[in-house]
Amino acid sequence: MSAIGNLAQGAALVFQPFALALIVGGVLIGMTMGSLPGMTATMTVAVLVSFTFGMSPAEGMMLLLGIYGGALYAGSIPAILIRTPGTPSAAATVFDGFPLAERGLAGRAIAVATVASFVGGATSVVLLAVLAPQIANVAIEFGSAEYFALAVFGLTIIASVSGDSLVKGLISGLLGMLLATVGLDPVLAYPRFSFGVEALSSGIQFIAVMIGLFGIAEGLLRYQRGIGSEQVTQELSNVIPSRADLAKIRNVTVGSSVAGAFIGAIPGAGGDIASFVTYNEAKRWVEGAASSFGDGDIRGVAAAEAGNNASTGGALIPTLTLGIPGDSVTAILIGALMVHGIRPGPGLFQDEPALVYAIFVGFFTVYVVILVFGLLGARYWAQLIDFPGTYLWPAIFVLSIVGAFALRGNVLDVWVALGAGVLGYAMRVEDYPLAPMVLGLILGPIAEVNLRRSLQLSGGSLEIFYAEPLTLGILVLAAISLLLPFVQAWRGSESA
Amino acid sequence: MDMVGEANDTTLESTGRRRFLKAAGVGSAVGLVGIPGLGAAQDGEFPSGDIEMICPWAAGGGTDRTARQLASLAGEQSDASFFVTNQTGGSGSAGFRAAANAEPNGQTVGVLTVEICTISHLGIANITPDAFAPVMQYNFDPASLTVPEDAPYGTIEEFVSYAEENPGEVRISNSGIGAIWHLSAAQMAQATGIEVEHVGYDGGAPATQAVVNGEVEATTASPAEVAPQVQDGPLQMLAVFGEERSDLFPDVPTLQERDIDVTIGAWRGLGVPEGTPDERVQALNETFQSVYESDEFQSFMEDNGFGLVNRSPEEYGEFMSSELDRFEGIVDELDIQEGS
Amino acid sequence: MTIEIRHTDKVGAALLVALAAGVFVASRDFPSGFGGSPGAAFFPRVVAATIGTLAVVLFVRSVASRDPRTHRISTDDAVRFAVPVALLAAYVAAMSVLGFVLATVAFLVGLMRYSGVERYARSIPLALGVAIALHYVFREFLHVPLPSGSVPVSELLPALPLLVGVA
Repeated sequence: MSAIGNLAQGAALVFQPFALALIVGGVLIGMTMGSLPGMTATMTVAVLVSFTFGMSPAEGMMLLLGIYGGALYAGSIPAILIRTPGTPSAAATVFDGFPLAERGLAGRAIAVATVASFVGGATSVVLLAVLAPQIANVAIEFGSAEYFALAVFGLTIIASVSGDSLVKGLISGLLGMLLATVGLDPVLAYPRFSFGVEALSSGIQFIAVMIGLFGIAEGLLRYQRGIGSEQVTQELSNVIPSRADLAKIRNVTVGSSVAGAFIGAIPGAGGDIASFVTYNEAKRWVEGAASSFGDGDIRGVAAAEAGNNASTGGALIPTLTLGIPGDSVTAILIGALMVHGIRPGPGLFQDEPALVYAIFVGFFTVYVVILVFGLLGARYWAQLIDFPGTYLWPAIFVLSIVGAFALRGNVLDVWVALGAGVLGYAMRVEDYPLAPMVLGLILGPIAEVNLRRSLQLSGGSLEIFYAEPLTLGILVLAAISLLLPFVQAWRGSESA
Repeated sequence: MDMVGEANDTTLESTGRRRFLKAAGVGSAVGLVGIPGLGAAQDGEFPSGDIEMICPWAAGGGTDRTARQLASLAGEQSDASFFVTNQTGGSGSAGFRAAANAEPNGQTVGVLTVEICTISHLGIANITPDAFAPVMQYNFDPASLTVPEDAPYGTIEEFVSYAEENPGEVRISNSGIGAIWHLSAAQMAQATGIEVEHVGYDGGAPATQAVVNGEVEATTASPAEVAPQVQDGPLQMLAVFGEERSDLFPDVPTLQERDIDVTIGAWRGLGVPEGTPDERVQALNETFQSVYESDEFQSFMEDNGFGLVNRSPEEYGEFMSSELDRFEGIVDELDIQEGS
Repeated sequence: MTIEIRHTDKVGAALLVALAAGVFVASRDFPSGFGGSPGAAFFPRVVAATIGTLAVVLFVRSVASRDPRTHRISTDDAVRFAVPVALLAAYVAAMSVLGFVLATVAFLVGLMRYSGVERYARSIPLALGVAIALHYVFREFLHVPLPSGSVPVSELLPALPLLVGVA
């Protein structure tokens, strides 16, 4: 069907009272949680995903996308007001946002952040809608060998998203891959590592692990550090951007939006990396920025906020077209769709075009809603910052437990979530990054099943991996992306 | 991840919320008396009270949709409230087990699929039709063999002789190792004495795509699953594995017509825990039988590409035990490892 | 009292090596593949071997750095971690006995008390509200029955008449 026809079908799913209510509700929940320091978009989506199991897939996506966009945007509010990013993605917003607030210009900073978030998010959704169908058209031809190569490429990106400790990042990713091998062997139907427990033979539930890693672990960390609330009140008045400000941030916002979308499309690279990169690039390229960035330049706020929200649409590109998550939130979206028996990948564009286009239309609508609520309501969200954690964290724990149970109506999944919570806590304390584990959990099985199927198809010959230039090309890229951080580290230590 | 996936899982429908509200409404109508097992303790007009139908596959899949259709029509035809719950995992074993372990009073009905006769042989879970008293079979979808149009064989006979001349060269994709379409291809190969390579994919759609891409030489699936690629695409269907030709492809012969004695496919039915009183089984059968015969159910099944086959409790019980034996033979001859 | 756990990097590395070894042992009976494809043990073993190798790298690096990573864990720290974990575990275990509603109320009231909410007049109504709301959302709307346990509290909650109207 034509793109226009698909768009109309998608819009028909979105522009219904219940779906629109879910978008608005999702944005409100996302903005609320994003305004609270420590509540990330990933955590919110993980603990609330079970509420979507009773909805149609498209309706569930509306709620989750609303949370995703809303939380990434609202992370900027406490970043500007109290120098504490609400989500890690807003860390770069602090640099220029907080100095503005100190000068009593918090309203102006939030207005700029709102507009930049809208432009970044909306731009990235348009790029998604234009590029994803083309990529899916190419990817539908991919065979087992190409998929193996792609999964390996995705896994090697772990090296570049591991932050400070490369080795710990790799271990985290490998642990995810190992965890995903529990359950029935995908080729021989043999129950692996299930130790005779029948419930384990169908594998570790991905969403249960995500709930543990991002919901329970965060709560445990909070409790261990003490859950005192931040006693800050900030008066916000005018949060409508002036025409002069809009003209000033125009170029940097558009540039950061496009750049942020492409960074978001890299598997595992989410809003946090996107906003740091767009902020630093803007600092290098924007006129006069070298001296004014970091000292309360609204263009700095715009660069960071456009970048992190633009990463969301970008992250959906590999998620929908290849089934490879762009960041932790989109990994949960994959899990949520799979609960409905829908497997993201190029086939999705043929089998479920209405759902795919509903995601495009719905996500764009999410950003329109964010713009409206952000400009009208930022002052109310600013009051939330010191909402007492003494009530919130117990409730988050309950939602985590219920969410894990609702997956299959099985208590084992709850224990898995709790175990993942303790594991996630230990990893956080020992500085093991969690994002690589998410990639490992999703990409490990894809890599394994396609490797084994490829070798079965080729009768055991490795030629299947280098006979086709595309497969070989992706594998070479994978090798480069794995080695690059090592080379950089080595060159860094040479020059130091 | 369930490797032995549901057979007809490729077509999904987005009626989730309305469906749930409806089911919820039916469930709540009984209110306070709706405690399973208590509501209808005294006989008289069974079925009554809350009757839970346990679907072992995910909401939105083929089995779930047929079960919900049955539940909503049965609710209209009797005083009881029928509602579907999904207890998934373990290639269906979680739901089968939950249904088998329920109280044998007719208030819990298990939706039984062909996997109840395969998973014990595959070593996935130790559960068989013996745990159930059969109520009714309501569906059968035959397997079919589909190949590219430009393949060097245009009939099932040519396919078999090509495979005989090139042993091990023909690769047949399926929706998952151990799943019904894999076992169907295996029985066809065993009956004709050809040596083929079975390649498992993660679901029916990628298995079909693998033939389109030329990664494998053929695929086995239900006619409805491959229909789009056969009608307007590059594939052709050589044979269906049912007793009769498929309504979708009236020109495609059955294997039996070509002297290959194989009929195999996926099926769905209902069962209650072993030990349920006979009169309750009969009462449930009467309710579901009249649902099955209703125009609404018949047209629902036809519109969604589900094959209609009906068996009484006795026939269904015999059918399941013959299926159990048949799959034991197929799995034994295959290279699939039995789990410990 | 403060416990000092020294060399946590090395302890972590040793645990990872043990895990890798465990994978090799647990996968020794896995079936082998057919048609030239590797068997069920191949992939987990490759992953485990890589984990083991990287863990050795961590260990060596930690020895070489001569600056052992040390965690000072005061009793307070340990308690602040252990209490929520213990409450959570007790909550999950109690759910199948007490049912979702009672267990949730008990858990929420307990954890709020521990978090510093002194007034039961505040925490108990809140906990009841959250538990009953979730019970309805999951049972009526999402149709996921939460554990009812052997104490028949959730059965006493009436079904939502509203939804009958919708249906």
